[in-house]
Amino acid sequence: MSISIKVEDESSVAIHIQGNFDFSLFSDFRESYINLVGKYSIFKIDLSHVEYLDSAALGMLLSMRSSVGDGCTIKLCGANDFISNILKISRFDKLFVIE
Amino acid sequence: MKLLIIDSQAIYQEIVTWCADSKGLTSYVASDFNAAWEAFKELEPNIVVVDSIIDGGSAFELVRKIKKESGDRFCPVIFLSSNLDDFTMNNCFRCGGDDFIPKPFNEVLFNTRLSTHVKHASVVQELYRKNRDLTFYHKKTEVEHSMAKQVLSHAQRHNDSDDKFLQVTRLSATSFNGDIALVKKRLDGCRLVFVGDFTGHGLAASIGALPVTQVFFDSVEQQLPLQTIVSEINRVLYEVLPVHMFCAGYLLFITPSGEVTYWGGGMPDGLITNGTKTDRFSSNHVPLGVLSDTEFDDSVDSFYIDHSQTVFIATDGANELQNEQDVMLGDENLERLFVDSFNECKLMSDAHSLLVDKIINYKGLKTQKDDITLLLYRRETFS
Repeated sequence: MSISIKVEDESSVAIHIQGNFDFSLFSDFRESYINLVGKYSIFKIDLSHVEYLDSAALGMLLSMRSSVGDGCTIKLCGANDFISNILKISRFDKLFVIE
Repeated sequence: MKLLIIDSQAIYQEIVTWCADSKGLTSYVASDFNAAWEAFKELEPNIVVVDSIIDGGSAFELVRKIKKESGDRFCPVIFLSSNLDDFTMNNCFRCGGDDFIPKPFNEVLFNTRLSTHVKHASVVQELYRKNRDLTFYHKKTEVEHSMAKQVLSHAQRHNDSDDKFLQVTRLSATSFNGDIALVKKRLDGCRLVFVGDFTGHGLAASIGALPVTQVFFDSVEQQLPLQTIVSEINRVLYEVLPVHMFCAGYLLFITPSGEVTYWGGGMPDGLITNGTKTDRFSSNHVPLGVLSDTEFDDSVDSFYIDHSQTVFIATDGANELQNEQDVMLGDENLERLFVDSFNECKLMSDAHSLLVDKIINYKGLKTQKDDITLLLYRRETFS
C-alpha cells in the first residue's frame, strides 16, 4: 500500500505517501483522509518518500483542503527539491503549511 | 461453465457427469471422434475430458484440433487413460493435454482434479473479460481525447497565426493533457497572450479551456484591462471546474513599444535573453480556478524588452521532459537550449525551430508524458 495513516496525537494525524504522487492515487488518497475529517484538526502529509508529484496531485491536495474545512491545517512535510519547487511555483504556501 | 466428456464407457461418462453437475457445470457427452468434434465446435465448452482411446479416430489428433480451434480461448483438456505407459502419457501432453488421470479412478480423485481446473479456467476467463473491458475503455478514452482535441482547436480558431515576432509551438503528448495558447493582436498593435496548462486529462481539460477562450476573445474586443481579464478567467474557472482542477498560466499584455505587463500563476519562470544576458520573470500567484473571486490576487508585474531581446515561455511539460534514461531536462538545461538556439540563429523563426529540434532530440525515443507549449516573442520592428 502506498498510503498509510498514523495518528500522532488526539488532534493530529499523519498521512504517509510512498512512490509517485499522481493521478493513480486519486481514489486511494481521498479514501485515506475522508473518514478522518472532523476528528482531527491537523493533517500532516508526509512527502519524504515521494519522488515525483504532478499537477493532478496538487489538485488532490486542493480537494482535501476543501473537504477538511477552514478550521483545519494541512501541513506538507518532507518534500524533496523537485516537489518543493512545484509547490513554490504554484504558491501552495498560501494555501498549506509547508514544512 | 460447460464441460464436454468424450468417453465410450458408460461408467466414466456417469462419474464425470455427476462430478460436473455437483460443481454446477453443464456437461455434454460424446462417444466418438466425429460427435466430439462437432460438439466441441457447437458448444464451445470450457473444460474437455477425453479418453486416450476413442472410437472413430485418434484422441491425440482430436485434442490437437481442439487446441487449435480454441485459439486464444483457454480450454483445459484432461486425459483419462487405462494405458499408463510413458509413451501414451507423453503423447497426451504433447498434443496439448493439460492433465492426465489414470483409469480406473473414483469420483473423489476426479472431483479434486476437476476443482483445480475449474478454478483455473474461471481465473483465466475473468482475466480475459478484464482485458476485453480494458481494451474497450482504452479505445473509448482515445476517442474522447481526439474529441477533446477537436473541441479545443475549434475554440481557438480565432487565434492569430504566428508571425515574425510571436510564435507558438505545441508538442502534444500521446496522452492528451490540455495545454492552451491564445494569441490576439488588437487594432492598436497591442498583443494579448495567454499560455495555460490545465490539470486533468482529455475531455475534462477541454471543458475548462472553452470558457477561458470565450473570456479571452471577448476581452480583446472590449479592450479590457489585464487585471479585469485575469480575474474574469479565474472567476469562470473557479465556478466551472471541480475543486481538484485548475489552470496554471501566464496572461501577457504586450505593447508595440516593448512594455510587457503580465499575470502568472503556477507556471515555470519565463526567460528574456539577448544572447549574453538572460533574465527571468516568475509567476507569483496561485493557479487560476483555485481561489474564489474575493481571495484572488489580480496584481500584475511588468518588464520592458528592447529590440535585442527575445521572451520565452514554456509549460512544465518542457522542463519535466524525460530522456531515454528517465532524466528530466530541468530548468537550467532548458534555459541553455533556448539561449543556444537564440545565439545560433539570426531570425527568431529559425531559433524557434532549432529549439524545438533540440527539445525533441533530448527526448530521443522516450514517450512524451505531458503536452509542451513553447512561446517566443521578439519586439516588432517597423521598417
